[in-house]
Amino acid sequence: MQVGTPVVVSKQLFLDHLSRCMKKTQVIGPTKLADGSVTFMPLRSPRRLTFDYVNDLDPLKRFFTPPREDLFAWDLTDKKPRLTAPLPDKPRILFGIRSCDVQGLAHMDGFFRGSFYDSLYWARRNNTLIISLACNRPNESCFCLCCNGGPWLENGFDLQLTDLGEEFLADIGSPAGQAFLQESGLEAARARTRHEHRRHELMEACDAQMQPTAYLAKACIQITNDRVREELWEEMGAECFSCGGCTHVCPCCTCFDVVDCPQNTGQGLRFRCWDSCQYAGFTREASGHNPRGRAKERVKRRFYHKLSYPYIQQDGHPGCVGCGRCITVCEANGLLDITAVVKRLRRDGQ
Amino acid sequence: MLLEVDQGVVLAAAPQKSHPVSRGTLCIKGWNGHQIIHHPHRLTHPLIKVQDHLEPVSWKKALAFAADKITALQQAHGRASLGVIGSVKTTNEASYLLGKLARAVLQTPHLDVPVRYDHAPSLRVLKEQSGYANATASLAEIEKAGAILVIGADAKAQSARAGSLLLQSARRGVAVVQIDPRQHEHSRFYRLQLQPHPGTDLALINALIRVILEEGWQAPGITGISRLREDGLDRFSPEYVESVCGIPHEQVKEAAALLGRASSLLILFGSGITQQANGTANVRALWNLALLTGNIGRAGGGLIPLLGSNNSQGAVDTGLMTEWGPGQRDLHEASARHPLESAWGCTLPAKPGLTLQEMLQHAGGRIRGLYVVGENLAWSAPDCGVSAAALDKLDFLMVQDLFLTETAAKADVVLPAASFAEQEGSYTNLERRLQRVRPAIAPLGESRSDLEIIPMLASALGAAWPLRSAAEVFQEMQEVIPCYKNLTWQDLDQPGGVIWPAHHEAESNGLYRQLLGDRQGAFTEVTAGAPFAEEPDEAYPFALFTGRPLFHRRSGTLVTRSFTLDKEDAVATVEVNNEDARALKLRSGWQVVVKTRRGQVRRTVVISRAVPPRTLFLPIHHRDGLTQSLMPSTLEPESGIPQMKLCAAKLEMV
Repeated sequence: MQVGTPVVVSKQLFLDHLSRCMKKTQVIGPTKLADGSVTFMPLRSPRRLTFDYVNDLDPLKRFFTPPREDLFAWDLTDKKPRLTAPLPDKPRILFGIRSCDVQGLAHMDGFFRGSFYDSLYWARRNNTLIISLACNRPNESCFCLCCNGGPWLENGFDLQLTDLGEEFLADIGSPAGQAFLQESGLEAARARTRHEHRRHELMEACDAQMQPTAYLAKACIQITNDRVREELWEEMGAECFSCGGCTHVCPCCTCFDVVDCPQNTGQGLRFRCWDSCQYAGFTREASGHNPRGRAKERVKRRFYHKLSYPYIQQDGHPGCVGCGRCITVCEANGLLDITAVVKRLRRDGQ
Repeated sequence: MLLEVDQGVVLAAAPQKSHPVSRGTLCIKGWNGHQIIHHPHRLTHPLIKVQDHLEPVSWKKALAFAADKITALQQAHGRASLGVIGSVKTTNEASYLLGKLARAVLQTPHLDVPVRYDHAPSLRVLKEQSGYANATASLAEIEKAGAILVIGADAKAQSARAGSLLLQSARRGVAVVQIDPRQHEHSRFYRLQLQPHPGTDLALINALIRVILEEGWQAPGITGISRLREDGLDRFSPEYVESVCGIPHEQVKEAAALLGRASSLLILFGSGITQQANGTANVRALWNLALLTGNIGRAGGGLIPLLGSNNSQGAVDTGLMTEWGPGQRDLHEASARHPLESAWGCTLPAKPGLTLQEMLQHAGGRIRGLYVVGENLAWSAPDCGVSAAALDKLDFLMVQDLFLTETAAKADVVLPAASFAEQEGSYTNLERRLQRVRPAIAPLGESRSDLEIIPMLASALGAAWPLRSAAEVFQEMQEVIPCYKNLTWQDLDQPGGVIWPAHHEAESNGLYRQLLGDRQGAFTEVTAGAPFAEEPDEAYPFALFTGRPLFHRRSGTLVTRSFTLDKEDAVATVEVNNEDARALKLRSGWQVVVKTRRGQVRRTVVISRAVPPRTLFLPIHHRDGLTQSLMPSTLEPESGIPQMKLCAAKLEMV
């Protein structure tokens, strides 16, 4: 059992082991709620764990960079000022995460270890074992195929499972994934050609089900070479509702705001929360000047970051993993999600 | 909308993909509005005024203090010396209890709700014509409409859902005609935009009706058309209207053709046409237009007033407007009043009480005390400097709110209310859709849900109301609200809730197809309307009008306490037409003072072609000088809405 070598394990025995893990480690997985919807949350028992789900709107980046997280509390009421920082999260397992969200994490990793090292993010990242599930059931807005975001990946996970029915084909992506399998005591046989062939069939079938497309190449060229007409940006800016939904659900979007919240005299809390490049307040400077004061400039900025070559070179990947969430949440339905914009940029060719 | 909670802290809001209205979307306020929940200034204790300042006390003490004050006030000055102002944000169940408290326990006729400020004319006309004070179509009809008229509203800013559906229709090629003095961001996508001089909408609507009639585009079999002619519709020729509204007559005819020849016509309208001297007349004219083209009760047709708040419709249905009891009962009709009197065990006045603005006007006179729930009148009322001063004249003011607003700061008693995330109950959206709200967290500190506060107050006043769950209150409401009869609490529990009256066609326009069966042709009076109350003149040469930006809502009590939304509203602006700017030698970014006969505010100039020459546009409310302090509070006599949309103004350099 080595990193990079696929193995086959019994699905039932693997899940039994995961259930045992739930007693000592937090296991977050796809959970069926009373109304039938499925969301990722901590599981105390395997009873509500389900494999019958498609990606929902909630991006799994929230387990690493929560929508709101406390940075520290201050207390200046004593002679000696006190700062209290939250405790780092305990070890946990994120089970069943889809490939697009794994690829999104890889994108975020680059940002949070870029020009500064974000210790809170990395505390969570390092404490979390990622057991992803290769996707064999896309939803109606998935297009990961176009963005190298799935349906299965070659790296970025600790373990990647492919559901073969009675068995899981497990790709071991890291020493942590290898250790998890070893500690499980499960019998893991080296995957044979027929297993890999079966996965290939499943993934082909998944690819065939994907409806939206985002042929990025020409859009990247158009944006990189600044060939998009200003009128088109103007039009898209006018359409945009500036709701920020696309950035909130995007697995690759990292923008946040830091807020100081005085609570009593001399006491308070500093926290950060998700922000959006689609909000005017995000870039307004102290002088009142705003380099992106109009929605047009903000929409342009968003897609420049997602698709232009300098950013692809910096991030190693376009800023999209094809999860399709922005298609659903966009208030300008069907006009400004990335698939629609890519199409418009392609057709706007000059 | 779902809230993500961790250890009692609401971290985020998220949309629900399966929801039939939102379909997985939220507007900027939806994504960020939850930030108010844990704002450090949330009220967490009841407060009472002790020697000019507010001190925290227990609930028992606050309620006893309030009850003593109210009893003494009513004994000294009569029951009707107390007014009650409800909220367009509290749940249906709390709104119902508040109305019952006012009418059955406090026994005052003076009960009103700030929907008066937005859509009193719309509700009045719709009720008078159709029997129901609500939209005649659901939002989903926007997708079916053959043509759409948007008038007096920036749908994108005021109702993102309606704006989104409208944008999609326009992009699909549906003829959307907008009538508004100001161009909006989405105007460019609409087929035609007519920019009448502010306050001249009535003549334009009548001209559209006249052209449709002349061309024979009215729906077949429509009767009663002679009424329109008799009332003098013919005077509204496109050429006459060109002189009144400043719109070329060819454009009037083009608009009439787009609207009159469409397979169906949906009309969306906002406070741009209601907060005027002609508020009621404007809505009557729209009713005539919809009726003439056969669009009341037709799929893809109808009238939708864009009500401004999450529970504006619920506040009307549960009886918070002074003229109507629960179920929109006309209280002046004995047959409607008596069942309520027997259910509540009280006698109800046949005559409506004072409206919201009238209560402020009579503060210190007929009205000696006010109980205000969830409304910052000191900022939201027109001519708010005067309105705020009126609050000072009261002998007793009690405010129930989340924050110590400018109104609450003047109060003798402040009751801390729980936020939407801490409440149980239901809300009704603008298409009569009742939906559940469930508590995500417990009320913060000592704050209480409205559903608890109102019965506690009733008990302190001697009525001995038990604390009941929202479901139990809803059950009682079903006995007195006929349109809720067919609903069950389980219906409300479904994703997307239920549209009353919940018969099989309620989702579309079935309600009106049945209702109007034999009333086709019930046209309303055609009038020329009242002139603009404050025509621009030499001293105040500009027509100033107001509107709501995307990230704003009402007086800003909530949005200014969401740190993300507050950042969006950093600069207080005035939009000036480029020709005027040139004549006045103004440049974008300069500071000016906008003055009216009531006050002045300082604003940053934005030079724009979106507003016509000789007009100024101000976004409503800004903490750096309140727009509402400039606007007139003169009442439109029929509906009691203040004429707060328009006035004359001038610009001065700083």
